[in-house]
Amino acid sequence: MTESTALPVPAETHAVEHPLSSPLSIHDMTVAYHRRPVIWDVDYDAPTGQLIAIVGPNGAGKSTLIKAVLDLVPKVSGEVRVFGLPYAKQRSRVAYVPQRTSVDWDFPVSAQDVVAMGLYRRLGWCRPVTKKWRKKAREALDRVGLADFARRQISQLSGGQQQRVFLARALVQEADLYLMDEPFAGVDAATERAILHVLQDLRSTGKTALVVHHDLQTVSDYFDHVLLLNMRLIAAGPTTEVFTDENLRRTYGGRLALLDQVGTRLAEGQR
Amino acid sequence: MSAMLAMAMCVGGGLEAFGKGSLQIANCKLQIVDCAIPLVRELCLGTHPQGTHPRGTSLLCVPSCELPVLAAESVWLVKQGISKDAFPNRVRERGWSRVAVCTGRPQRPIRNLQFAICSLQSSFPDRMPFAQPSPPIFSRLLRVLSLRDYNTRVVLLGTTLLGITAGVVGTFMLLRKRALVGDVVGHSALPGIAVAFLVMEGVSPGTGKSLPGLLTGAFVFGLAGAVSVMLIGRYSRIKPDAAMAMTLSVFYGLGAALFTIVQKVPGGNAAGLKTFLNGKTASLTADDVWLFASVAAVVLTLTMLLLKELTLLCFDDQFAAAEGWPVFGLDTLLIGLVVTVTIIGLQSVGLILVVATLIIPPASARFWTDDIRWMTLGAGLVGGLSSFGGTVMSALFPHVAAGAVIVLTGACLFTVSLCFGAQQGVAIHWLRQRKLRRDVGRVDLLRAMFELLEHQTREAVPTLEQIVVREFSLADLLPMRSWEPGAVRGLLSIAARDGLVRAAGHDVWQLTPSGAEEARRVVRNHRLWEMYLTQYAHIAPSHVDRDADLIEHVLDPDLIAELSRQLEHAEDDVPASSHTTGGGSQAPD
Repeated sequence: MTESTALPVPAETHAVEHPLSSPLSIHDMTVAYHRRPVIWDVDYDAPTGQLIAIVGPNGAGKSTLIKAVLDLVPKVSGEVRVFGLPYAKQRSRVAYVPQRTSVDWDFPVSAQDVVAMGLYRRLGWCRPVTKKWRKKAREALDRVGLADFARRQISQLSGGQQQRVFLARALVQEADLYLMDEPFAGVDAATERAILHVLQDLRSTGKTALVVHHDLQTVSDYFDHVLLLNMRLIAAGPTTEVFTDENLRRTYGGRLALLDQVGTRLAEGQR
Repeated sequence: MSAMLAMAMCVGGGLEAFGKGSLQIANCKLQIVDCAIPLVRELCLGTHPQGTHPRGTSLLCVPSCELPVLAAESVWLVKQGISKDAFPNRVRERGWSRVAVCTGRPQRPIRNLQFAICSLQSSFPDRMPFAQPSPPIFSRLLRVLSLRDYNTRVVLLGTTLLGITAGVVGTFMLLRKRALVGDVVGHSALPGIAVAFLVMEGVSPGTGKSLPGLLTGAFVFGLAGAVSVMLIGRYSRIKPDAAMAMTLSVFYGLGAALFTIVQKVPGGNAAGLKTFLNGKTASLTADDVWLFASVAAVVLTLTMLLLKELTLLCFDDQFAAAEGWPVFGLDTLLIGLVVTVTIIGLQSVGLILVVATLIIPPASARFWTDDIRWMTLGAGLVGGLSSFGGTVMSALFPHVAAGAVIVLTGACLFTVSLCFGAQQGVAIHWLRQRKLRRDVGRVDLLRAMFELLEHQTREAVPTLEQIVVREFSLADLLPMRSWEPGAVRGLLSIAARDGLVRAAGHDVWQLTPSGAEEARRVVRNHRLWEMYLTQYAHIAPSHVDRDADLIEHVLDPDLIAELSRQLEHAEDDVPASSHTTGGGSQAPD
């Protein structure tokens, strides 16, 4: 992680003009945790209606990037525009899928209750979740193939099903930009297919999705664009152009890339 | 505690007749401890500007056997205008075992007197031993439960309301993983009480113990304690448990230091302040209960209105923040509710035990339900029940602090929930385990029978007809697995009960048609999984059987379908085993 500070500063990814129409424009953003910068000077414009992978080694700041966009961690400098406006004014157009491990799944709620949480903001303060909204939640569960699990308590779901519940919670928000933190991490094959299907579905309706992704093998198959990150933006653009061995080496560093590939192979083997 | 304040007072000679030898009340010096209401204190001391001296006052007497009852009795005495001359007879008639005496003017507000008497009484049991036995426990229980006495009604209503409210609010604290914040609030309230007393005494001497003032002080400091925990967690790397431990002890230390100052205030009387430490359940007054009721109403309404928001906050605060909900605000509100309940609860169970009334009820309710709405209701129910039960018990055993009894009653309910809870109880868990063990045993048995047959017919997968006619002896089955004869007999008898096998002689068994069908099914699932493991997970065939054993018991129909699809296997076909099966050559690992 630390050796990455010695990486060359990327030149080709700096966009001079930030188009207003972009679902997500990050301008010169630096984020720090306890005064230690985690990501430096990220400058990025997301294209509309594409599936975008955020790829980088552990500790590269992938989750932090998403959290900074969502104002969950304070930015040291820089600004973020969502469809041309600050995030606080565009919350209804953005849906967030946190890491599955970020919550306690032994919580006493059902899958449907969790999905309904995506509707709370539209419901407003003090309004109960009525039949109409519960129906919406069930429809979203149906989209991720969990229609039969609506009443199941969430701890009785498998890891992949829990991930799909989170995805359904984002779907129910009917947003235009989806930010997903490792939705493919540790899920079964059925869930992977379901998530991919939902992602392609979103793309076909003109939505944009930024997905933190750890599995290098599937990046080219699943995503149109890729954003390579290791504490700073290494490269970004269409997968076919940017997802090259050269760029990957720059992202992971020689030694790390090998380690990660071994890890990926191992993960593959166990599936 | 009794050293805190001692004051002497004389009682008229009318008591001489009573309890000859066993009690020296006449002209003795009685200590009044914890006399918290200034008015009564002054009355007793005879320093009140309006009422001068015990002369001409009525005697109040108090039986100590029933705490909630006793004040009502004394009120009754006052109301009856019993003179001090009639007093000894009255004591005998009633069969009171212990008597505490103080003087007061009957026209003073009864409620205040009640309070003083209770406080008085609670300090007396050890000092005034009387020989007479208390009434039988059953009749006392009946008397408490029948709510015959005004004071019983007041105290029971008050503690029950508190229990319900604390349980409901505690649910969210438990789910927010801040169970100990209640403890922090309770301990932080101590300096608040001292500061409030000092400030009020400073502004106008003698008013130091007005309850609203003390509670306000407790509230401010309790909130400060809780908010400092939140802030330390937010803006430093100190972990929450350390933050709580520090805040709790620092505030409590401050409180202890301030209390030494309080006791040195000239003319100040710190007595009664320390009831906040252990509570004063038995001496709750109607005013207290009105306060509890209004607080309970506000807190419960807020919780109901914000159920959705609080649930989201407790489950996923990151998502809530991303969605634009004011997480810090909601947290502060929740803490505010907890502080309110805690401060009110101080009066009932005291600041050291108040955390138990917040946490035990929701922890118990969690064993019964997987739904946060039911859990909240259940926590209210458990909280109310334990407070009610605890108060009734403390009325029966007046020497035990009522707050402690309430907490112990809650602990009993928790233990019951832990063992017999419908969702996560130990009993239900054990039953599920037993069912799983039986299912596993049945699958193992059927598979052993099928494979035994398969081994004999040499490679060809046996047909259903072949399976049904074959008889299995116990000796056949034993080598298939590391089974004890008793275990196999147990499995067989369960399988026979389910109609899967039937006895064909002594220790000889046959599969029924449905058993044969089931055997084919379980073997097929097992083989499919084995194939999956060898083909996709690259596990050596000799190791597959064990792994397949572990996993096959959790395969559901969906997964089986998925396996069939992936392995492109025909619907009904039983694939051949990838390793040796049958007698003797088992357990490759």
